[in-house]
Amino acid sequence: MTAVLEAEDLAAGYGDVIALHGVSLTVAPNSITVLLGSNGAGKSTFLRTIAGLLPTRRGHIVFSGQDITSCRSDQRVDLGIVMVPEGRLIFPQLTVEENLKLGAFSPRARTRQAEGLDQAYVMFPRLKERRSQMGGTLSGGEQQMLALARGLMARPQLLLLDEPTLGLAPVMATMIFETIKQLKASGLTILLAEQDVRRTLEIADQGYVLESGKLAMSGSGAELIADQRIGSAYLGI
Amino acid sequence: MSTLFSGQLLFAALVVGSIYVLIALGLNLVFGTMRLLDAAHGDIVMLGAYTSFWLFTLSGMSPLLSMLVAGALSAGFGAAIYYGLFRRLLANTQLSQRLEGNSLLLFFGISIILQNVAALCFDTTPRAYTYLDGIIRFGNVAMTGNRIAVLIIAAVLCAAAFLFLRFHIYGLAIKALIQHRQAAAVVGVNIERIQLLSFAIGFGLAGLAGSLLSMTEQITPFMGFPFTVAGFVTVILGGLGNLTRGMAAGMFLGFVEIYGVALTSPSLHSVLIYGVFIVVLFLQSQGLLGRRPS
Repeated sequence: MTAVLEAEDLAAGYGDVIALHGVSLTVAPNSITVLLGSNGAGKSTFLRTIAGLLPTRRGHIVFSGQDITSCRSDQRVDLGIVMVPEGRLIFPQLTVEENLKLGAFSPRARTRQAEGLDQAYVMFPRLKERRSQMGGTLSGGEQQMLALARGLMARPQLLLLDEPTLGLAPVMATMIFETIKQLKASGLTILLAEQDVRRTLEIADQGYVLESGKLAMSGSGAELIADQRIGSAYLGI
Repeated sequence: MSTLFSGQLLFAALVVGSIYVLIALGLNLVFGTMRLLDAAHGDIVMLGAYTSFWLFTLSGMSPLLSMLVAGALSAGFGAAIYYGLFRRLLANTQLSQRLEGNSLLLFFGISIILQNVAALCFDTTPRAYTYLDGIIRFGNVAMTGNRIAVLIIAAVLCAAAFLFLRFHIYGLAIKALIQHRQAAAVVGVNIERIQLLSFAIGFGLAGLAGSLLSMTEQITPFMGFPFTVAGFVTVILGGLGNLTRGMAAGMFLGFVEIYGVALTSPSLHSVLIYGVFIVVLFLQSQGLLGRRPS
């Protein structure tokens, strides 16, 4: 089975600061792959580089066998790499529905915009209630639903989720984790960066631990949960 | 006092206001999507006016038709400026940090070049032509046909722009880019294409506005600057980058100008525009119709 995503020796950064020093990893089809690590370890930088929001300084990104290192972010969305960013980045002065419609901006998704909108409202009935409200007026949890639904409007093959439960109430976080499992069941491949290490590893097929922009450890979800170093560093055991 | 309530004055205010709306909308698009301060915007109005003037004078083409030519040429000029000058500037992260100041300088340069090239080619004699200048009466309001045409066309253009921004996916993408550049990239908006579109629409509207003005006003190579100023005042009144409020502010400025001049004297025309601007900035720094920071 060929990997959905292969990152080879990926380096990236902001200005003079290099945040990612040559990370290689693979994401298997229809899996949940997680990135762990403390703040500033390079998780977000990695996801943003894969999404094309940050230029690649070194290395290659291969998506479904195709080298996409030099593709623009909108081209990657059109190929099926869709990011749900940290902090949600919804459009505050557009309505919920307009936010969702923009999710289907890429040519591949645009023709099925109406269908996607129906699916989004079935999946998140709350968004349907709020469809004509401005995005900025939603609660944190609703904004996260909107960001996730907007990402799905693009008909992703690989969904990049950056800290989707950050700052959410526990009930809402549980709902987001349930949604992620459902999305995997529906055939999606997910690359997830999360600070809730235990719950993340429980749903993970494969995990990678980043430290200071380098790969420190990797293994299946079960292996990492059992690993003492993970236990002491992230789970407080 | 009775003149203040005449339909005549109301009509005049609507005509001036609708031109300001078109000019300010273009300025706002270019600023909102790219943070570029287009100090040459009024000069595009001037080019549009000359386009219609020459097409009418040389070939007798109706300005109602030549406005399409003026709009298309201006849009093409906008696209050329974007590709030639601003595309790389916007892509360069170091240069883009000083973008607002740099863009002001660049556009001032373009403005000076356009004015002087126009003066060289067309000389500085004020020009005008007569078209649809028959007087039409509605009750006790007398209007020239060309002003009615200006008002109707400007209203149609404003409505079209409003609907485009509200319902078309590219209109939404423009608003998305204005509100959150990074988020627009996340959802897969081709940012370069939207920037190009904003330049083309913004400049095209300015050219169309110039073409409309040429039916009623005198044309000179230096006619553009007051429109640049009025455009900036309008855009700031409505809140920078806020398209629909900017459109409302354009109408407001038209009313201030016409009623203010009627109440005082035509020589105070500029004082009124700057005066309103300064008063509003004093009262509320976010613009008259802008949002207060919450």
